[in-house]
Amino acid sequence: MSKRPSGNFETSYAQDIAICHTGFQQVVMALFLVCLLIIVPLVSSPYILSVFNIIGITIIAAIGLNILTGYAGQINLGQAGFIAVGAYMCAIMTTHLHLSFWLALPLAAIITGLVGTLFALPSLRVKGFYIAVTTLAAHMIIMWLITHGGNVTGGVEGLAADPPRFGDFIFNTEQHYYFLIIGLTVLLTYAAKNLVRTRFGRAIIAVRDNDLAAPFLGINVFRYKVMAFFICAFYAGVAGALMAGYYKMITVEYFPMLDSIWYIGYLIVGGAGSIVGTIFGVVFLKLLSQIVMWGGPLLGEVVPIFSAGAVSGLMQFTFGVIIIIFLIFEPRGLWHRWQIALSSMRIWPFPY
Amino acid sequence: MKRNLFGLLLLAVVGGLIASLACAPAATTTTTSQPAENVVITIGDLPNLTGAYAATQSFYVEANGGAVKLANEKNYIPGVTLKYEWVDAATDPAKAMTAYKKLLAASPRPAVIIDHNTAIGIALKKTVEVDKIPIVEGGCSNEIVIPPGWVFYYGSPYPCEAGAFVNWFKTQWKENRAPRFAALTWDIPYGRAWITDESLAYIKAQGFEIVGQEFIPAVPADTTPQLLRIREAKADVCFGAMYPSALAVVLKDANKLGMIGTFTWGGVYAVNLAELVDYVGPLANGCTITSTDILPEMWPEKAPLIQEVWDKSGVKLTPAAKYGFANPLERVVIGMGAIKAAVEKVGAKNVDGQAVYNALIQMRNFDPWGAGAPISFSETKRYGQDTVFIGQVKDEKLIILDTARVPDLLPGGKDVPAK
Repeated sequence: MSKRPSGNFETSYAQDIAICHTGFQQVVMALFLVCLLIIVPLVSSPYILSVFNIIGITIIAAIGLNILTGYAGQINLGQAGFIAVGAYMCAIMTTHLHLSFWLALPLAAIITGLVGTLFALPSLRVKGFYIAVTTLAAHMIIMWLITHGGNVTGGVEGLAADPPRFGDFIFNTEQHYYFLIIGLTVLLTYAAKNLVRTRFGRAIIAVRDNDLAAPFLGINVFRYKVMAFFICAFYAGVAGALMAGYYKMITVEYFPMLDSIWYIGYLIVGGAGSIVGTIFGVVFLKLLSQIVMWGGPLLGEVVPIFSAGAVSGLMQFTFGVIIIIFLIFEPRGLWHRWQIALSSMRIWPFPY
Repeated sequence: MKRNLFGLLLLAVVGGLIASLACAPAATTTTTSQPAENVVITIGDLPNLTGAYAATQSFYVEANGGAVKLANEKNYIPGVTLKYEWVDAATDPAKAMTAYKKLLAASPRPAVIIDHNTAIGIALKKTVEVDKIPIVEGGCSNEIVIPPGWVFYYGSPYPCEAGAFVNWFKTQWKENRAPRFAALTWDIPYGRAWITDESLAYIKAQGFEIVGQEFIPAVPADTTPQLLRIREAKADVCFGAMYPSALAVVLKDANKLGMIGTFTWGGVYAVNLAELVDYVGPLANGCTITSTDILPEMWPEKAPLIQEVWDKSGVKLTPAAKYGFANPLERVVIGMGAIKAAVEKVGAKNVDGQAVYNALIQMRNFDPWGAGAPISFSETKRYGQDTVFIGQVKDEKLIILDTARVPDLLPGGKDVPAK
């Protein structure tokens, strides 16, 4: 059967939660991965690969946020701060401690996870809007510590980071980074997809849906909230470490507060509570920002009254409009659209 | 119905995106019709049209694009048509890196890139060295000029500008005690770049008492706490680096606290005082900067080409913008000057980033079309100007008081006081 047949024929939970339900889906997934991991890096220009690399790093951080916000229901407005921790930890370990990037990356992720855990502790007493403000404070505290970190963090001047290397082979082209970043993105996406299908995943969804009822199901709410924070910050740490290795130089200005809002935007546009939706959201908005980058000068060229000054801030404007459109017309995001499209296709040509 | 409407909206957005992508490669350039046999050489530009720098830099594209257009019209580099490409760097190093990659994808690949942001200059330093593309930079910190790399800062380093400012302030000081000096500056790389061990030691050595360091965010809402500490410290002079949009908040808060006139505010070149006058009027009186540029009133006589670019600029700019007009333009003129020297050295067809880099390190006393002090780089020197103008707001008008030599206050510099 080429497509999934109409109706639900699963006879076990394993079948029900499978990522690919039919042989056709497995083939499509395999072709997609071959295309992503082999063909794209071979045929794309460095610029296109750089866009893929940025998207990959952002997807990793956004998936972490989705586990915390989309699945566990804890709003995090400090994701950019956690990414900064990962980036600086990686840079400090490679530059000051002369550790290999391959060791620095997981260590940076774990340390970032622990920092995230620290800021999760207030979730024992507060929730909702208040925990969101706590994470906002986390961003400010982290930035303050970095800017006042003297020679350790380089203060506002920033810190150089050693690029990843294998012996004499140094990662210094977009293609090299593509394999590293997209490889890790695939791996961590798969890990996240698995994670939310485990007992842990079901528990945090229960916490999100009703944290008063969850304890009666035997769920330790605080423990799961803290674990969700750890995983969210761990993913941010990986993204930050990759940023440090990719950019080779980091400053606090890489991690503005606004970026944390953008991450929430990725979830809104893609669909909070869905791993695939996160990818949709990031890809959509990142490509949109590239289009605006191209379109700004174009607009000034084609319509002279739109000078460069007039088109300044076009991305923020577009971003705002897109968020409003999604909140009004499709609060469940692109992922929900995708589900509708798949359902229609499954029973085509009898959509009703 | 709701679902259909959303589908239509989504379709419109995606359609718009695809249409822009299809058209985009054909745009984003400024060239003029030139003989077909001319070699095309690209100059890239990374203005910050979004974020804290946007208000000041929003007309940079008109200035730099206009200068390139004029150079083509005047056949500034015989046999060469210059192509101008810009991408919004958005006051954000991460976005600027993507913008930079987009510039690299231009055809032909840029031979030089113009940048206007300290943090972005720092972020790009390692990358451009690998890509072998020189940057003519508008922001400075020790990280940018030391060790010498592929980023060339056009002015004099901010610590040195701070030294020039205190030298000037000392000549104005009449009281029989040491003047009390405080830092009041943006809490970002550009804002802090002038604060170094060397500049602080120099300020002390000139007889100033350093009484505090206050930092304000890039987009401040209230600077009262910082100003109260300045008042507590009884500072006579505050020095810093911030754009007029932020300084306006400081001056308005100072006015509320009755502090206007109690201290002199001084700053590095990038504070557009004319823009400040627009924001706060008489509160700007007395604010003084170490300017890299002459006044617009002097253009017809001393910088006729700048005047011509201004006259031809298609967009109506505010009078305040005029004061900042020549500033980005100086950098693109340096870039064009380096391309011209490279063409003379290796031939138009062989000009690439390496050739322009070689031309930049051999640049001596280059005249940026009269807009500012002469530019000199060398194998080891990555800043261009050795003198600054002392500019001040008086009766809500910007005047130039003096020309000052900047002391060499980079680490190991000859004017750094011995410990």
